[in-house]
Amino acid sequence: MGKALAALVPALLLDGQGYLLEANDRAAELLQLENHYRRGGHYDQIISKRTRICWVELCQRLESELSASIEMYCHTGEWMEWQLSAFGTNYLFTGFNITSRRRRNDKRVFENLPVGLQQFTPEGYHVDSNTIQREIWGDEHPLFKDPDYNIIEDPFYQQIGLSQLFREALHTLQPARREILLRYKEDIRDGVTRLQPYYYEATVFPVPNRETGSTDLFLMLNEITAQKLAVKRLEKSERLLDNIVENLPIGYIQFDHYGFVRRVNHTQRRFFRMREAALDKHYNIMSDAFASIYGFDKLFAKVMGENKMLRIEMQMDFSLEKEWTDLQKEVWVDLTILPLQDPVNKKQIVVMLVNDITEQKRERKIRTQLQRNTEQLHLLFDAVDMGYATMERNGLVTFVNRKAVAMSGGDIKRGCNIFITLPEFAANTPFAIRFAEAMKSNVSESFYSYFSRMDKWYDFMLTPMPDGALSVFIRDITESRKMQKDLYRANNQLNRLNKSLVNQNQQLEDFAHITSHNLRAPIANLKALMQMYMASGQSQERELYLSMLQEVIHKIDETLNDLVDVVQIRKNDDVEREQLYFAERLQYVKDVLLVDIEVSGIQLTTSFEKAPMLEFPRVYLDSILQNLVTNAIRYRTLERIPSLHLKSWKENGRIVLTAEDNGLGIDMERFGSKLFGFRKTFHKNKDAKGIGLFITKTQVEAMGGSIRAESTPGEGTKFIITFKPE
Amino acid sequence: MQLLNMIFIVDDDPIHQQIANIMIRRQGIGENVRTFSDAQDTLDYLKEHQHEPDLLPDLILLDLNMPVMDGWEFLNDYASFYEHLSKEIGIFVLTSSIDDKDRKKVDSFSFVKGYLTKPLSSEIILKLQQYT
Repeated sequence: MGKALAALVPALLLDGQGYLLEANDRAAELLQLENHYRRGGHYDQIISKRTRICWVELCQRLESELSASIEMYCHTGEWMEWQLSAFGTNYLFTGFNITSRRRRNDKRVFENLPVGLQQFTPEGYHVDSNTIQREIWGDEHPLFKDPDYNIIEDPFYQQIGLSQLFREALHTLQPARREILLRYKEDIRDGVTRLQPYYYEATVFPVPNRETGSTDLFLMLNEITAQKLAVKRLEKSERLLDNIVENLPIGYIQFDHYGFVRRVNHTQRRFFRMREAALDKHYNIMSDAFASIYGFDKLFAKVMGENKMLRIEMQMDFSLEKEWTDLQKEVWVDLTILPLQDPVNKKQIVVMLVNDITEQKRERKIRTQLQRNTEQLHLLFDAVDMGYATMERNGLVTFVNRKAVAMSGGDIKRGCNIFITLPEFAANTPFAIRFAEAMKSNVSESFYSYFSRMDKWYDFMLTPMPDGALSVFIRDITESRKMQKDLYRANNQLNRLNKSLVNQNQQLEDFAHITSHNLRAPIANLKALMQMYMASGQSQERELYLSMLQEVIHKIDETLNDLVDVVQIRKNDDVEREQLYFAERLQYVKDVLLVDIEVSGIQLTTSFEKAPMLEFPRVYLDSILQNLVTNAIRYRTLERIPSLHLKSWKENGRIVLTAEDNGLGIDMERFGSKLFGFRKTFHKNKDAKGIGLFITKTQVEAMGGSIRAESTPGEGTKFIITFKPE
Repeated sequence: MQLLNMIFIVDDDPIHQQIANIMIRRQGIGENVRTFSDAQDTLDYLKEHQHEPDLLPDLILLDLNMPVMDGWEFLNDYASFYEHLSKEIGIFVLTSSIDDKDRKKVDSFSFVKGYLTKPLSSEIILKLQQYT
């Protein structure tokens, strides 16, 4: 039994110093003791090198009544617990197989690992898996459901490179590792489903299986989604930054802290017209001759040294630099040099932003020149003897010369609004209306207008300008207007004089006509009768001729008297005038013509309210009224009750008198020209002598007035007398 | 010398009418002398008898200055129809006007045979006789 036990239980006998006195076969096998070592070998050499607990330490544990044991893994694949115990003066070191206990522990470790771990057969079939790994795959994964499922042969895992890891580990017997995008998970948030990628670090390592003699493969999955996404985001922002820098509309040159050019963006490359080859050269700003001409080495050092941004405008002649650029001309650049830390690798860099401002400089120069020209022009405009102003569409004055200021009475100045400052130019004034028209039609407007404040007449020319503004030229035309007025007045006087001469001429012609017809006719009769009288021998005949002669003489006398009357009226243009009431004078005439009025039954009506009075010679007005009434009576029609309406009113400062009857009327087309002639009659009326209207016309005209008639035969006649203004 | 059948005197002056009547009859150039005070009446007569040559005058002595219708109006109207008359009538203007303008104006009427100024005298009547 003792021997049998000795054969089963591995045991070592050691002396007090730890030297091996004896080892049984079992112990020698487990510890792989060579024969010469089974006696005389030391504990520290045999055990400590594996357990790190030396002989002295173990013995002290035993003396302190602590557990003096060690656990050790053996090449046989077994776990042994070795126990030290005193055996006389020597020590006994006995081993107990604890493999199953250890296996249980291993399993617990396996289970509690903070990463997913899974055991596979070398062919790729699932053996075991810890909970984390199971959760990663999900319970429904064929790995756990289908015993025939082979992960290495799964086309999806072949595609994402996982199968490759298995093959690699099996082939090299070394761990193989890579990051894989294992799966996507649906992430439903706010009703939107997003596919969330899950990244894992997959490690496949080989473990030799002593039981089977083959190599197991372990797959370790460690979720790194968060890290992976962070890196991706970083990469993305780096790419974005990169893109922005590349496409910045201004030049971008990046230097490392030694001064070497590391990057030149698109804008700058184009600006420099850089050749592709130039980019490959190692350009250093600190040692470049061209850069030092413009002091870039010092600027660079300053920026680096003071860690401060610097901005500078300079004119550079790139015709001196041929290696880097084909620009070959002078340009103005706006440079910003700033120190930066590379956001990715955190290294110190220097960035130079280059803005080509040649055009702006030129524009600025042109603008300055233009401004000077404008000022000169304004000086010129100040010197001319003509008002000049420029204004915006809304009336804002942008320039006004001295003359214009003086012309306005000193109220307008640059910056004021013409429509507000000058009431003469406010809305709906001629100026404002023409202003709007000029702006609308884009064509110059010329007009003149009275400027009451200065008591002046101004001639304006509003000229729209291409930039939408308006030029106003103002000329003082008061003098010429006055001259024009004088001329107009003189012309009027001349016209009046001419009219008067024509009138007098007409009167002379009338007189010639009257003499020819009205005086010569009776005289011709006289002559004939005288001849007949002389030739006649019979007294009876002579008696007849004498009576006829008497009649003719009477006629001549009558005609001459009428003519004398007319000549008197025409001669007497300074006959005394007096204030007369139409109503009063008409009453007088009605009294004179009482019988005629009664007999005819004429109805006289008046409306003198609008102009009741007239300054006129009393005799003439009486005569005029009497003629008008007599005419209305004489040429009444028996078809209706005769009526005459007299009316007076004022028109353009003149008093107008009308007399409208309902009598026979006159054919104006036929008799219009003779109506007011001497001894002209148009009716077969015995009373008609053809003198009344002639006298009336003479009296009206002698006082500077005029008379005309309107008539419709069968309806009546209307006489219109316009008196000379008082 | 043929005796004129009929002579019309168109004049509003009654004295002249009498004088003309007496002188024409005394000179013995016409059998009938008829006087019209109104030119319109004369025209009406001529139109009414335009197809009766026996009733139309051989001669008309026309005054210019007359009321209502004057000699000018008469001439204008006469111009429009005299070609349809069944007899040629000799028209003479007999006026007191010595105005040259009147004389020229009368000349524009081709059918007027002459412009005579008053007073009517034996010399004038002799001229009229020559016309016939």
